[in-house]
Amino acid sequence: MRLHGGGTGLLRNRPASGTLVDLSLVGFSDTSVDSDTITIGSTATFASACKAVAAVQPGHIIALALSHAATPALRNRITIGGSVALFPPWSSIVGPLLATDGRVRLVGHDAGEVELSEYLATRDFRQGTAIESITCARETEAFAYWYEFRRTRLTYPLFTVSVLTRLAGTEITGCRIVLTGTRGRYARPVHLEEEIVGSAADAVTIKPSQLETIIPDRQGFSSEYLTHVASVEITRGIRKAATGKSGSGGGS
Amino acid sequence: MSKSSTRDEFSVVGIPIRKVDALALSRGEARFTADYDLRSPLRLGFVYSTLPHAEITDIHTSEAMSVPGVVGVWDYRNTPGTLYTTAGQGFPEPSPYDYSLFDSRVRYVGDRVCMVAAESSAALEEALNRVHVEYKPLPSVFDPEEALSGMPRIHDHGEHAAIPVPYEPEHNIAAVVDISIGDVEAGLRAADEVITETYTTHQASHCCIETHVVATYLDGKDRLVIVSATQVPFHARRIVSRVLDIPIGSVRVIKPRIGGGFGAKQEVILEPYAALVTLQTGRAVRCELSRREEFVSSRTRHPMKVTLSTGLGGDGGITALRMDAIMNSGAYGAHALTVLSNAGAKVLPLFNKIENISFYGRSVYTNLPVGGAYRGYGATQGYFALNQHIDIICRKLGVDPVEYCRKWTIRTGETSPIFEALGEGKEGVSQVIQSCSLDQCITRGASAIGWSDLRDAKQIDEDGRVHGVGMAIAMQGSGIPLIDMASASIKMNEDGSFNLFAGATDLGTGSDTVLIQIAAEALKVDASSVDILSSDTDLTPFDVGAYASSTTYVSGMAVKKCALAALDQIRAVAAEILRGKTGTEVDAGSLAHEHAAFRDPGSGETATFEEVAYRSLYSVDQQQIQAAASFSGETSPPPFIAQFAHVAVDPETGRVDVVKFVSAVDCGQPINPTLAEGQIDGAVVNGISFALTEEFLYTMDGRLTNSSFGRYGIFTAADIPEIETILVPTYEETGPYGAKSVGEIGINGPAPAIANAIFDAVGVRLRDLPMTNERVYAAMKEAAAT
Amino acid sequence: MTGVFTINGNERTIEFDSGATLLEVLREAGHVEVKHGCGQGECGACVVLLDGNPVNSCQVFAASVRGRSITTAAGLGSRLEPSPIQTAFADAGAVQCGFCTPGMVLSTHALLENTPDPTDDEITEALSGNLCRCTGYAKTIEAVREAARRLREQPSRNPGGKR
Repeated sequence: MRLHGGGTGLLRNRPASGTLVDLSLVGFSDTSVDSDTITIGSTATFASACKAVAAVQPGHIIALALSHAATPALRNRITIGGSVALFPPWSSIVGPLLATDGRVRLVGHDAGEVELSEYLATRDFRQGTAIESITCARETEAFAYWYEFRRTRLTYPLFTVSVLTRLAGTEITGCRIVLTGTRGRYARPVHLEEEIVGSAADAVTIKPSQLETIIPDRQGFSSEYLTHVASVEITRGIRKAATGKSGSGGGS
Repeated sequence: MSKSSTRDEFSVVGIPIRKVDALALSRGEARFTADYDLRSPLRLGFVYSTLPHAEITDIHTSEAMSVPGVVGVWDYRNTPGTLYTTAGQGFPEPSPYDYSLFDSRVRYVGDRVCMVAAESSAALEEALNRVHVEYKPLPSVFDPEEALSGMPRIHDHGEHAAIPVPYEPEHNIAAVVDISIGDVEAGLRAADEVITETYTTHQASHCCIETHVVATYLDGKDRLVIVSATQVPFHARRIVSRVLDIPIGSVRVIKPRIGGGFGAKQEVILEPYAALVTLQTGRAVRCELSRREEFVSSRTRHPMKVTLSTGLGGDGGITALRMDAIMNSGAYGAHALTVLSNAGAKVLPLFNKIENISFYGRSVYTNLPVGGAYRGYGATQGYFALNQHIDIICRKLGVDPVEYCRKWTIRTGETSPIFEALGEGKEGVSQVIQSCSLDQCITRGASAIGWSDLRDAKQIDEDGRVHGVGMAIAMQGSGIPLIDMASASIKMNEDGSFNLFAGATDLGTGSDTVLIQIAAEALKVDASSVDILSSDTDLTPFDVGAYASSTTYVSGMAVKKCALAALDQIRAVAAEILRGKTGTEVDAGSLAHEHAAFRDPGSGETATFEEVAYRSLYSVDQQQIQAAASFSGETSPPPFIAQFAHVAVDPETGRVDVVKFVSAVDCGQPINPTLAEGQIDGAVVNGISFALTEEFLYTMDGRLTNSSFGRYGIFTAADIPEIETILVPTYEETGPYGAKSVGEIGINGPAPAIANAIFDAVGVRLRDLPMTNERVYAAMKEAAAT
Repeated sequence: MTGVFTINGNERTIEFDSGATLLEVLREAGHVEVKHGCGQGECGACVVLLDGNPVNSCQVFAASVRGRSITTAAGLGSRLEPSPIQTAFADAGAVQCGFCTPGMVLSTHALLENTPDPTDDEITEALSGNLCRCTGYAKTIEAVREAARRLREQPSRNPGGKR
């Protein structure tokens, strides 16, 4: 038996026979935003989740990431739960969720709530368990920056960058950096986050060696180059916070 | 909407009327090949090689045959071994006969091993998975220069050239071009300075949104009918009949709407296979390539390595030019000779003051997916080299390329010895340029891009990107002179409307509309009074098909001729009518041709086309007013283009954004300005993504890893720059109402213009395509280090 | 499996393989205006509107959308009264081979329903999932602007035209 979240993941490898359970028909599709939390139902589409978040906080990193993810038609089908459960390297939602303390509520065999990072590490072992909803933080005080590396708007991203920066004046008081598409699927360079606290956001320069990870050779681009671009975009994300604006970087 | 671009004497030509099938297409009513209703069609699919070069030692098909719903399995053991070329070209084809339906050898990952026909797609898929192939792997080679050693030899099954041209399969050489004018070596020695550079272009996929697709069936008279997304219905008919050894007259090929071609469908790929199954089973067959199969197992743009050596004289002019080219043909040689020739033939005449020119090129077999016809057809590759080379020369001399190009290029009244020396595979045809506004194209394009403000300024914007501009110029052709032939026929209906029949192939280019406009102009009727039926080998007369930018010029002239011939018949009947009306001996030659009528200037009386039609169909001296005509051009008057790229380069990542792209084009008198602009717009965007984001990514053993749109980067609407296309009309006397063709030329300029613009911005020169972010960045890093 | 679908306003009961995609079911049911370009959700030729929202029909199981409302290009306007979007595309020269056009006009319809006066960025974003190789998108964008203008100027706001 295979579970289908209503998104696009399973259609690539269509089962010739057997049972397909379509979870998109059982609900869990709402997104709600309160003063400090966003709760997204697992079968909420990218489009519906983006719309709900952007209505309240257009600068939230989820709104930035989802508004230009994939294509409009795919955004009407890809589900948040599906993208998290499958976590393809090009997922536009996992980085932002990790950067905002994402937590996963599960139903079924392993019912309960776990941190997203723990879920990602253990999801292959959770048979008979489905995601009901995902929560994350509003982070209204932080400046968000989103970047995905892709050749053109429609090709799959090779890596994504999520940066949340908290400032006092131009001084960094806190920073959250998440890369997806790295070796090991994603990375959060915690030492780097700690290192830059206290620095002036408009003068920061991140070097590839500080990322504590690399992005492997992929799709005709070298590891050295991709990792370099990641460091450049993280730098830009932090510096942009100093201008007082959240935003996205160019797409490729 | 486009403006009209017409001379006062024209009433239909030059008017941007709506394409005749546009509304049907936007409503989804127009039918493409896969939309045809067939009676219980069989589905046809292929098993492909997983190795780049191997002998097939055994194919086990019994398991596949026993899948319920499977009707047959065919491989080299039970199909004709006739050698042919899939290239859709005139007979005898200049491409080598090196391909058969199936062979006991496979020559690239994606080569055809066998095919299965089944009642349903499910049965087909299951059967394809149950075919077991045993191979004896052979050494493989992917680099053409390595392949020249002849080891491994890719073709040794009796492959041969159909016409007397050099063909050396023992060295893996599919074609050779070797011409020389003057004394290049002496010219280079005598030059003040010699500049030698090597440039490479890469393999690319056409990415038509509709893949190759064919439907075949036997009609009520047991004739084979092939409905195909083809640019070359008449060549398809001839090749199928030859391969399957059936009379040409027993085959009918129909081209419905096609979802893009760009050269991919100037190839007879699926038709013989589907036809064979229909003939052997009596059943209708449908075969459609998947997107992956389209990327891997159809055709591609030939990669080319071009080395240019130029000697400069004291006045800055080029005194001698040597061009050497190595073209990667892939595993088969479709278009191997002609694309190679065109890299010189369409490129070298442009700077026609060069007295000493040589072009030595070779197309070489490798174990890679196959090259074929692709918009630009060698000129694109050659112009990438030439236009950068000119930019390098200009930088050296400290002159503006806008001035340099205006000074040294061919103009009206001039010729080039290249026209005669280099044709499509054999000698070409001499010609004198009758129409050329390249000068104005350069001026207007430079102004539109803001050349003088941006060139050398290296402006930096608020995002830190450095701006630059670059230019490129090109000429192409209008059909293949003395080879391409088109014909058309026309008949008149009672109400003064006309049915036009043309073999010409509309790929979406709008040729149906353009031909209607030409006929309507000749007859002086509204375009809505002419209906066209095209590309049916039973019902429409011959046309070589849509390639070599031939349709407007060659097919257009055939249409004009036959319309004028019909007009003569109408005139004669009109004179009869007017004799009756006026009671005088009205002379047919003196009648004035007005809108859908003839007038006797003496009495002022008119005879309308409707009156003429009714009289001739029903009343007196009954006849069907109808005429037919053929045309084959003696020359191939080139369109000209000047193209300009404005880029912004991110110095930290090497990312290149094209801010604006301008094309100023001389295609003679545009028959339909909207359609002409549309051809340039589409070619430009294709050229830009070809330059920057498209790339074939192979494993070490020749397997393509990114055979999908999600991994092969063609531009979306969100990626394009600001595009400006300017028509700079001239009047080509030899063309229909002054027209030249325009289908290909737009794709030649983007890559070199962008390369030149990158150099303008950040001082690094990318001589190899594609110019990905990483390559630009690496070049900048290397330049900074030295 | 049997399902009822409302296609272009008409309720239809269709029998289909349970694993079939919406694209396959629509084409089998005669809606050949829905095109197959890649089968992987990467080109947009198969876009239809599902309850008014564009989706790649090749990435939707027909079984998942039983009882829902589907609009194809043939459902935007009628033979006699095509949608102003369709005529704008034809007039602007945005239709060359026309294979991407059904998907394009549907994506445009969805955009203009939500955003009657879109910026160029909103237009290109809305079309970013509809690949075209013929036009370079230049006249396509003009067509959408023109369609928006014609729809705004229509006396009664009825972008779908008659069904």
